[in-house]
Amino acid sequence: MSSKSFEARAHELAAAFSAKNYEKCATLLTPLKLLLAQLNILVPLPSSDVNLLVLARDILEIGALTSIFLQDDALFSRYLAQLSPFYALKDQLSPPSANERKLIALRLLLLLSKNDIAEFHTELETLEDEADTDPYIRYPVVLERWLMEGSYDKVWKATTQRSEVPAEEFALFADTLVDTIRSEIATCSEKAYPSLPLANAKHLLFFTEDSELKEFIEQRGWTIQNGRIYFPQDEPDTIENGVAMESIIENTLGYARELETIV
Amino acid sequence: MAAEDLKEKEPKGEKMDVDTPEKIPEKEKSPEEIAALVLSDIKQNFGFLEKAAINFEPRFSMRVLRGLGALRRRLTSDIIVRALEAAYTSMEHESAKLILKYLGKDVSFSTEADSPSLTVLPEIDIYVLLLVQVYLLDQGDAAKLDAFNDEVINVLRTYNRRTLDALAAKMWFYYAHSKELNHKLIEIRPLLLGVLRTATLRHDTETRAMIMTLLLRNYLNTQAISQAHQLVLKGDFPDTAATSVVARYLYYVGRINAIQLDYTAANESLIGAIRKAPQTTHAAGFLQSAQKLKVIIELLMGDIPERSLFREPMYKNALRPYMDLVQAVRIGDVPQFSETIAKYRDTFKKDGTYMLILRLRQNVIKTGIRMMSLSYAKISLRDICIRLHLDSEESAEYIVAKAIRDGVIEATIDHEKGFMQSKEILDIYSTQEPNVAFHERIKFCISLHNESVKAMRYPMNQHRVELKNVEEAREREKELATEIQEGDIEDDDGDFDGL
Repeated sequence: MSSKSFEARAHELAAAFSAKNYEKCATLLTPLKLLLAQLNILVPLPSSDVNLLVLARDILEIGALTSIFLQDDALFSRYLAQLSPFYALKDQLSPPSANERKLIALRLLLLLSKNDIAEFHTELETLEDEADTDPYIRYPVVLERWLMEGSYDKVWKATTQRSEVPAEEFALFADTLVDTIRSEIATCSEKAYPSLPLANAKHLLFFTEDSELKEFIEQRGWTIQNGRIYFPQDEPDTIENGVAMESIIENTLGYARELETIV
Repeated sequence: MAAEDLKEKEPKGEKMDVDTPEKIPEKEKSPEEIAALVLSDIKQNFGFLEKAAINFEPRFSMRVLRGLGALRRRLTSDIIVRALEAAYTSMEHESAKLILKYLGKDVSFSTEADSPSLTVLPEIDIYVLLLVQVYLLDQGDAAKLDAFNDEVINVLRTYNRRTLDALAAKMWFYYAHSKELNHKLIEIRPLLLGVLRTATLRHDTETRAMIMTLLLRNYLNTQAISQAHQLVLKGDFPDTAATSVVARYLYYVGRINAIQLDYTAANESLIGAIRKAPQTTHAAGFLQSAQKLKVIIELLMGDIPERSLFREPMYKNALRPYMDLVQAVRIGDVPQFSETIAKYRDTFKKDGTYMLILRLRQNVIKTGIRMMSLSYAKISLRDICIRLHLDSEESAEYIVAKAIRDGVIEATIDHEKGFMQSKEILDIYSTQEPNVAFHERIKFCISLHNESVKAMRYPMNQHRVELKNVEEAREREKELATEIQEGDIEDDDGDFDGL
């Protein structure tokens, strides 16, 4: 296939993307990726033509953004993996990508919503300078800090209020993040409060409807009495002692074995 | 700052070299005398290398390498040329030609031998090349060194001898170091990975350990943390490698673990790195950066590092910013913590600890809550909010709840009245805690014992020699006994006449 029709298809894709027709983007992307592979620019090589590489990068970026809108996390990760060699060459590719920061920030957010904090920090370590300055990257960074510290109300505000979200793609993660903080708050509440009035619980867990709260309470297995929630108290004592005994015996036997080898 | 001074004392750019060169007391001597001494040292080293090659005894090569640090400061191009004469039978040897080309000297000499053979012991060949490598490095001509290294590596790769391993490892170290100086980090990766494969197949422990360490450094310098992590997971690092290399490796592993939030593992690696590194001023740079990282990791784990550490002369100045940080975390003072970070931002960034330090904020808050829970039986959420300089009472409630769940404090919250009530302080001896601490210590002692046993070295085949000696002695005794019995001793007098 000629490179002419390749460029035409790329334009078609860009048009479909700016018209927000993501389904159409997805169908256009598959043959385009095949073309990229045939033109041998799916992975940048030192010999590749720079103009073509820029085009390839833009196509893959549209693919990544499309997968975000279609909520296909695995596909998104795959696109980003394909993009990373392009970003490593960023000095040679001009114009520089406008979406790079945004996509990286989205990846950070994805990792955060999956609670993969180790990977999150690994990724973040490469962005030392951008973490404080770039508005896109700052968003997941600040969210993570609040989550770790326990300021769930700030996370709630940052994810649900439109003005706080840096771009519309970021809002797509709001639901998962709210679910995450709800379950965090729930486990904290179980330990921190002996009991809690229903109205307050609704407020604490950011529910607007009573029915939502009811459903949530049932899921967690909490009991309601006289309009208060009672959290199940765990009785660890008897079980724990049994475990302690076992571990002491195991340790002592271990010491004996080691001593045997020394003497 | 004195910290800089300490680092300056080390040979330039040699922060990652943690070998201990032997100290040789130097008196005032004329240049010729020094040159003669250095030359005799080098010649002696040739002898050691020969012994190492013949007896298959790596100890001698190690000994030669230990002397390298002391030697390098006194090297001159003239000495090298004279060493060449001793090493190579002819200047027609490829390596000799190569060296002369890079030294910019044109020397030819003829040996007495009628037909100069071009063979030379590989160990000596590589050692001389290594000397030139070090010499060029100290001259500070990075481009020249780089070009020379490319050729040296080609020579090295033609050899496949196990007695060369220690020397080869050192050579790779300087190779990677010069590439780093020339900012060619990414280009050398495929080569290093290839060498790692070869070294593994040849059971070349020294090179394998060195290359793994170099690769890790390479990855970490370019922030390729996940690749570094993969290397640690998939690569099998040899435990029997030289201690200084192990120390360096452990330091890098500690870094990776810290970035991936595995603080316990990171702490263990760093303790290992610090203990295994030589405790001299030559390794000050390494020890300082390892201690910096360790302080941060201890803080992240919720421990407070020992105060005495910051008083030691080696660390006093280098760790100054870190001490301020520790103080802020220890008393749970959020504004002071933010101030410290702002004040030392550039230092922390240079040390590569900045991102880790940012994670400490939650620990500062936790400590603050803990202090309050210990001092007050009951305190309103509002007061907590004011003292910790939090933005809202609502945040304070969530933060306290999280602290309770994470086991930082033992307390309950009364939501309606808005206060936190501390529970009775638990008697630590009624819990598992002492048992666990006791177990940790015993485990440490046992593993120390086991490691020492493993670390003991026995000279190869030495026992056979000893056995032979014992047998000979027994023979002699037997002979002597029979001689005494037969009364042959008088015959000895007769022997004296012959003298």
